Amino acid sequence: MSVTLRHIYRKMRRQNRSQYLLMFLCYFVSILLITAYGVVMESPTIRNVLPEGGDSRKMLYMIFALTLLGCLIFINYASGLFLRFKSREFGIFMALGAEKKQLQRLLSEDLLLLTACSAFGGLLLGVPLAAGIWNFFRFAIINTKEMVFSISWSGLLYGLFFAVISITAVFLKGVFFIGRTNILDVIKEQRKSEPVKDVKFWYGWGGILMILLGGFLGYYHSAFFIQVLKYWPPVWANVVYAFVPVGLYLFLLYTVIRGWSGKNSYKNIVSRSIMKFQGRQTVRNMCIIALLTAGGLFAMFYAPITQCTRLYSIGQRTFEYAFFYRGDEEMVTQKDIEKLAEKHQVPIHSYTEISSATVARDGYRDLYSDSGAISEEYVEQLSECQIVSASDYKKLTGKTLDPAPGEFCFLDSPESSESTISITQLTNPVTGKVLPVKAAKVLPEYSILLSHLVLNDSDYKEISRGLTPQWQEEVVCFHGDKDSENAYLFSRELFDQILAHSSKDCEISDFYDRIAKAYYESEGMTYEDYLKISYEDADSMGFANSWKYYPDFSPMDVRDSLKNLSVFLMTFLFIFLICLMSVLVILYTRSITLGLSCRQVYEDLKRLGASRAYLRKSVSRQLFSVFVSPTLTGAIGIWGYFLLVLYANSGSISSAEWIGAGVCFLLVLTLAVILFFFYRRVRNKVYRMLNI
Amino acid sequence: MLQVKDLYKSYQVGRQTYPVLRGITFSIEPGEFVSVMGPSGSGKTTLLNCISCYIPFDQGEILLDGQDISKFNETDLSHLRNQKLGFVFQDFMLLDGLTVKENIMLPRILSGQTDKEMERSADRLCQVFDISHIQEKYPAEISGGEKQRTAVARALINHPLLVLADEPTGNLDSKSGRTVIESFLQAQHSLNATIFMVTHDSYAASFCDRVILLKDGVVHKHLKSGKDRKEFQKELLDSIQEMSGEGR
Repeated sequence: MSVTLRHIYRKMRRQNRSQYLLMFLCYFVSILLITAYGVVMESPTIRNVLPEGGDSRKMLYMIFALTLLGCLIFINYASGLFLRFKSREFGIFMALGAEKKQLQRLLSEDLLLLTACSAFGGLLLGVPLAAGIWNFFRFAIINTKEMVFSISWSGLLYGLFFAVISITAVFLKGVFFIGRTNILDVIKEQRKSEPVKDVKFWYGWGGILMILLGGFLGYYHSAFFIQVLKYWPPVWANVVYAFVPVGLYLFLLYTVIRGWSGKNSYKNIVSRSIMKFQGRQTVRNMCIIALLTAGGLFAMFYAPITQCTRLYSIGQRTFEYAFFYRGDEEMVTQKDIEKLAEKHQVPIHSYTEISSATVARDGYRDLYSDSGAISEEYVEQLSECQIVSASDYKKLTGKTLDPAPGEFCFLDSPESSESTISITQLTNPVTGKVLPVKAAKVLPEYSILLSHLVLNDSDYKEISRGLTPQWQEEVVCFHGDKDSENAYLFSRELFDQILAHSSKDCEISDFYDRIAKAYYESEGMTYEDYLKISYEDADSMGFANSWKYYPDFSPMDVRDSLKNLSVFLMTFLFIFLICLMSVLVILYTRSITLGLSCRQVYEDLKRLGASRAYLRKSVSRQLFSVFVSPTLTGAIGIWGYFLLVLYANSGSISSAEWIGAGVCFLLVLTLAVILFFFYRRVRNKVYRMLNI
Repeated sequence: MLQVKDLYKSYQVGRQTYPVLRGITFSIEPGEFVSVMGPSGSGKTTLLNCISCYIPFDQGEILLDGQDISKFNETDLSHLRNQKLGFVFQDFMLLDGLTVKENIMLPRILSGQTDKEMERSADRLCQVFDISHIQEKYPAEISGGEKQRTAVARALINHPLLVLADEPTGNLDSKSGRTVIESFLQAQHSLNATIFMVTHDSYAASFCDRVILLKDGVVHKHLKSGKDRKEFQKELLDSIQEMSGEGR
């Protein structure tokens, strides 16, 4: 058989399979991750739970954009690496007289083979990966009705789109690569480094300042636009976030090239110079690692903080059992409850019933013009407002509040940021009677009376006179065992009975507002009840989180709190895993590149008499820097940002939030342990590659 | 065979222009073994790269077998490199994934002349350069001298008009360097090859028929070898010293 170019090129492919495999893996994993993310993002399981326009949905999109960007930069790096490797072969071919069309054909075959296989594999396995991860955790952690994973094939389009973009990009690079005419440049390409020449002394601290500034401005710019400029923040205002990546780049550049220790620069001269001569690519990769670490952790922080806050507030409740119902409902009676408690052998005591009322409050409604300008319109009857008399408040909580006539105390969530509340008048929705009021103080509250206004008895009597039963509520509270299995069964059955006694009129969410509805209709607008709930879904997470009359039963709330977070928890756990996998792949590729590209350097160092210990230290120092600098920066940075968000939400960080932040920190430590073991494995592999 | 007439080449770095070749003129006859020597920065490698068509030149003419290569398009240049020129590089430029024999056959394979004759030519060259015993080995498994002899064999497989060698002994110890020079001499005598070599090594240059000394981008001197190689080497060293301003 005669030897042809195709024959020898195939042989060269086999000989250099590690380079091909690296490129294939980078493409395959990127397309796989993007496809899996797209499938989860488009799944009705997630879309039904994460509200459109809500923060959690935005976070889902934001981290997807980040992952997409990270994967694009990463595959750009991988294809650059591959073409650099190819440049020597192609340079020799050109020097020996190969025609461009011959080389074009060879490179096209290479790229087509690699990208088509990786795209096919990534797209094919993206769906099972998403469903597999989801179902694994579903059966291992929480299995609820809403957790059944439904696939929307439109999610595949994300993977397909990404594959098309990345394949187009690599072919464009290929065209440019073949188009070069200077043979010497092509041949030398493989040895060409991308040194960072000038790292100024201020890059380190300047970078840190820019990261802080980006985080701060990024968080507060919306509030500044809305509250100060009275303008809806335009999209371009998000450019302030650009301080973060720029600062990150400068900071990592400084860390990699100059270092922070500032002593004995000759000691690490080998590792530092290698890092320096691969500076740009290294730092670019490190930036992506830092951003993906931050994105993944930010998603993962959601569950601990929500769970801790929820469990803490359950623990702080005045009564273990509390519920309320509309005055016109035929609800379970004290007798029914006691009978049920007896059936479940749950001792209950201090049964208390009080009344509260729903009236209209005034306030300002934001009006958004097409240009984005925000104006306010005063509305006398803006929304519903629940009120309770000071004596009933005392009866329920044992605390004395004595607001002066015309004043009220607002019972607010301890995590809320309201230091004052701008209500100047209350209106009886039935009689039209108006009561001018002003806020006396805002008090933190954990009981079922959260968000109520406490009025003095005479004001309460005056404003609630003439209210029909559908504008009145009965609040029922009692103490009882909350830790036993029986207590859980009792609370579940009581909940079922409450449901059974609830009419269709009360099949509404927290967001449903009769006053707002009346106002919209009076203005000729349509009131949208965008969060519809159904008694048929009474066991669902959505129902538990949204039903207006959902009871506060501590045994049930504690037991079901994780279940009621299930889809959120799973979605964010999935995001975390995708980000983590991306980080691990980038770290692995970057480390293996060191092994592939620095063989000669380490051979020369061996010949110069460098000890094995010295060589290993030089390798581990580089790898450690690649592993630790970005992940630590990302983790600490996002933890700090998370504290800023918690602080900004309420002007302080509550005890529950500190506990949640502590749990988040433990997550960071867990990630550090995972990365450490991964680092050791990769480091040992690089040792073997370099034979040191 | 090769005529270089009034050749000019400069490099642009930022706004600064650095002239490297400033009116070089010389010619090489068929079957001649000519080398170019000169201090660093004198323009030796640039001259070779211009003749190789790896880089364009600013002014002048390079005629190979009577044809002006500056007028060639990309396809013609590929054909020229493949059929009329042979290359030997300082760092061998062998493909690691191919055996010695496959590396030697590469120019033929690229031109699509993959017949039995190709294998016979490769075998014959392996014999001429005493590398038959390693022809199935890979570059990583052979010595530097063997690599360079492989490169010389590769340069000759298409019977080029001219072999261009850039510091072929630069990466080799003296023994291996000697075997490579012997390979060139063998090529010259057995295969009637014409060789143009850039070198720093006066020992290697002393085997040539003629040496062109370059200084600051111009031809400083032409030296022709007599009968005695050692005498010629001494003459070369004296000329280089004189050129460097250290003459005795």
